[in-house]
Amino acid sequence: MTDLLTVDGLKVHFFTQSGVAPAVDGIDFAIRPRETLGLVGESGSGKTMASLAVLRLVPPPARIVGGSLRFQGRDLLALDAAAMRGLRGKTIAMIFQNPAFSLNPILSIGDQLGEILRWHERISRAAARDRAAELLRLVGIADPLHRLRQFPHELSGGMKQRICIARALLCNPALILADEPTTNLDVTIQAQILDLLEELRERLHMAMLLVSHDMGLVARMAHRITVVYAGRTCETADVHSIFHAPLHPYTRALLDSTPRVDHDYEHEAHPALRTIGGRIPDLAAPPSGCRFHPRCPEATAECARLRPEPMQVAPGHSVSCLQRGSPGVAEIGGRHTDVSAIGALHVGPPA
Amino acid sequence: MTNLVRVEHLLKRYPVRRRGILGGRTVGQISAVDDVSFSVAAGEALALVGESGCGKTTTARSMLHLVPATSGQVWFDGTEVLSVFRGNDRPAVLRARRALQYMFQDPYLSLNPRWTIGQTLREPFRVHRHAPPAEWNDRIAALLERVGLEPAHAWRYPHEFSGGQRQRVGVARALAVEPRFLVLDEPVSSLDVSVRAQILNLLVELRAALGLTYLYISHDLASVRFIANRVAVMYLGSIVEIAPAEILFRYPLHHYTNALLSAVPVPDPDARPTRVVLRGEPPSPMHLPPGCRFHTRCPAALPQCRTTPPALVPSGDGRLLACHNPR
Amino acid sequence: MGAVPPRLRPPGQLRQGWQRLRRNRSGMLGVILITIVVVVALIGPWLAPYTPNDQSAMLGFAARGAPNWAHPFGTDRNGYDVLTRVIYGAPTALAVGLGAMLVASLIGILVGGIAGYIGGLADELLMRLTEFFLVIPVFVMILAVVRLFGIVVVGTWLERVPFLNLSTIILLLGVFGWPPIARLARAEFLRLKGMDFVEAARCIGAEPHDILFRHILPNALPSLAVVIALGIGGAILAESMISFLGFGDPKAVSWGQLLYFNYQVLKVAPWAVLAPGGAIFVTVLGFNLLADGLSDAFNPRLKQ
Repeated sequence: MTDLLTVDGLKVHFFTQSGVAPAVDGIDFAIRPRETLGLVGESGSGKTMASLAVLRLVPPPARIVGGSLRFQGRDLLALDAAAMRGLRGKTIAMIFQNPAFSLNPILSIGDQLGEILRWHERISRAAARDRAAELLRLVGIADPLHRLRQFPHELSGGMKQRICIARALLCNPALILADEPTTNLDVTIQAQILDLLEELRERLHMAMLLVSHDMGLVARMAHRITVVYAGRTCETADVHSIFHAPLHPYTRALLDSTPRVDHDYEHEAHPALRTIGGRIPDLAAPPSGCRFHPRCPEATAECARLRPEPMQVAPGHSVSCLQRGSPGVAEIGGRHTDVSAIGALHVGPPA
Repeated sequence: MTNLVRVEHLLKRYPVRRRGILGGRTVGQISAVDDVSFSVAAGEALALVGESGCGKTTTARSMLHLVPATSGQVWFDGTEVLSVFRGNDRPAVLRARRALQYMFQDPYLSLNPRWTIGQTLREPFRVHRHAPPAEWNDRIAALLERVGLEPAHAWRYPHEFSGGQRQRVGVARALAVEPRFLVLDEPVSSLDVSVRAQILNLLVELRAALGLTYLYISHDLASVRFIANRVAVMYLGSIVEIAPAEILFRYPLHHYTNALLSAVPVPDPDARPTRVVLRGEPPSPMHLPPGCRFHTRCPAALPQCRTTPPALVPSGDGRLLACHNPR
Repeated sequence: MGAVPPRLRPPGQLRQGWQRLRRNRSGMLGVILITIVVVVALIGPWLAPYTPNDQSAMLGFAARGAPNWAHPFGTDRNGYDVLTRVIYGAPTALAVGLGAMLVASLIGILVGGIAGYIGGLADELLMRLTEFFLVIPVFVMILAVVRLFGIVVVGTWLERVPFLNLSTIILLLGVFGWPPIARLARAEFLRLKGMDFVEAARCIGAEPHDILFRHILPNALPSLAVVIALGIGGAILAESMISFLGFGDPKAVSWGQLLYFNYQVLKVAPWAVLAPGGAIFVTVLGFNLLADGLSDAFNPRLKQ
């Protein structure tokens, strides 16, 4: 099965007055058709930037400076602005983190959804309204025609997120990028939304990139998982391998340090979570070699010198860790001062 | 185990006003905290859980008079503290403020950005004077070390620290007055996953070492299970179930508790608990349904649930439950 | 606990703000311009070639003379040396700007702070008061009061009070200039009142006056400083206009007054108008640029 989306060695750098910060410095992942890939990482891991990069929506002062993005066999970085616009919202759609901020507060729901439909499919107002209503019904909103006339501030968080999902589905995309779609929602509403996403993905044969920091969420929703830390990929595997046989020390530490609601802490005399010492590195001055080495319990001198490259340990399971046998590459200096933005990759503000 | 803190019939109502030229009229009210009563034993960690709008934060803030309660009483070690906070007896107010402290959720807003950490930590000493000024610097250094920071950090400003470190300062500030009761208001919700464990471990360790009593507020049930001895579940301003943690997590009797627990994602792809997914959304707090507030979404609602609100009564195993038709 | 020597201490908020201001070019230009004006105001009078009331040029028929070595900025219609008068106008301008804004800030922060902190009925009443003051036509009011004062004062002991007229103008500018500051102060106090660190201070046991002066006010000052800087420029401009219309203090030397004396000879002796006009421009520009720079320094935008 060929991949729907392949991201290889993606690099997104922030260009600021005080220097260059490599927010994404080599993230790889691949999504197959009709599959959900979970992109897991904490703040500063680059996961949101990576998902924005797929749609070439990286905001200045950040720019895509390296790597390749292939979607349905086409090189996304080689497309011109018009072709990219044709792709966004139609073939690849995005659901953002905070539904309150991703809906235009001064337009009615019907106007916002209709605008997208008429832009991509050139249909009449009436037809757009009907299609929008149909989609609201699909996402479980009762009385859709009434809702279409309402404005975002009149709706609850859960309702808004359903509408954002409906908006993403308007033109039958092949791939949905969901960036922390339930983080701001209550737990019981979150369960509803996740069920809905799962059901829709199945029904409409879509693939999904689910970006999250919540291991529980990706355990439930994803088929495969890529773990990222400080802008680089640590490990990629199917969901069972990640949770039951994690290889990368960061993956292990992440799983161990998360409290679990199904664990019997009451019977422990001195309950303590296994912690990861230290903190997430400053992007502007990342550690040399393996980015995780200052906090890694298994780090050696080699880890501070060489940058680990992904290595396949089993079909579909790759890990970037010198201690697991990955090959290492010596890094050139510390700061990325010689980044010459390749002309063809300059993306500028989103068209 | 004696009860250190007892909350009795706590009520907090907010009037809903329509704006006019000079003030506006009241058109309704929201009972953010609706007749809440519970107690916390000395040395225990009681968790207050619920989703947004359930009143858990308002309850905690009302207990310490950070928000003036509409009515109700809070007893601490034999003294009713709300009347103390409202009163003019400054020494008594200071005593109460020393005994009951609060740790805030947001690491970025809970420290004065224009003060150094040292200044922030000196403030409790300046207000209470429970140690001679000559000792303050040493005490501050000791506090910083206790929470895992370095004494030299006292010279720095909050913006130079990470979220996790700022939360540690927040703990240090609360501990500066040597409290006995500490309210922890979602202390780790704003932190990264890898840092949460550090702070949670710290909080557990401090409770054991200093003999503190905690009221832990959170919507994250996993961290609640880790830190709490007993759990109280709130929905739309009332407590629906209180039970020892082990019992609540294994055998929830209230349907909302059950739905809440089954909605929490577990980091295990093979775990597929019997999931109860609630229908619909919580009703508007201004127009609460009659009878049991939860009946509109409850999978087991009986006719009487629509008319009579259930009372919070003991139901064995140290549990209190408010339900006509428990599981 | 070993004290970290001050040199090694990382910079505080104020120092950091200053560092950011230094990097902001327009802000620094503003600071430079203002510094020039302040220096001129402070030591200019000692270095001025003549006294401001020296009309000796008239005697030699050198009035309305073009700039030359004896009179670098030329002489004006009445034979005064323009350079001297411009120099002596600087302290007047600064007194007006700073004085008016001092009055306006005190009233504005008091009114806005109380409204924002206490809220409720006090808030409503104070805001209506603020709006009332905003609606009053300030300029007309000031002209009327100055004229009235002029009539009332004649023949009384008040006439001998030095710079009474100017002080009245400064006071009036302050008294009518506080509403924007009050509005901003109210917004800031309202915003800060609800912040967690203020709640924390309350929780520790701090009393309201502690909270207002040690927590809220210092955090409100950066935003207020911007509006105040703009206000200084505005006050200087307003006084120039008042003097230009002939309502200024005849005993004080002010740039607007110079314009008033010399606009009729604009064609013949343009330097007499350009010099004070230029001085006003430079000073007001300086304060405006400073305001811009401060705004950026305390709220660094996401160019980062």
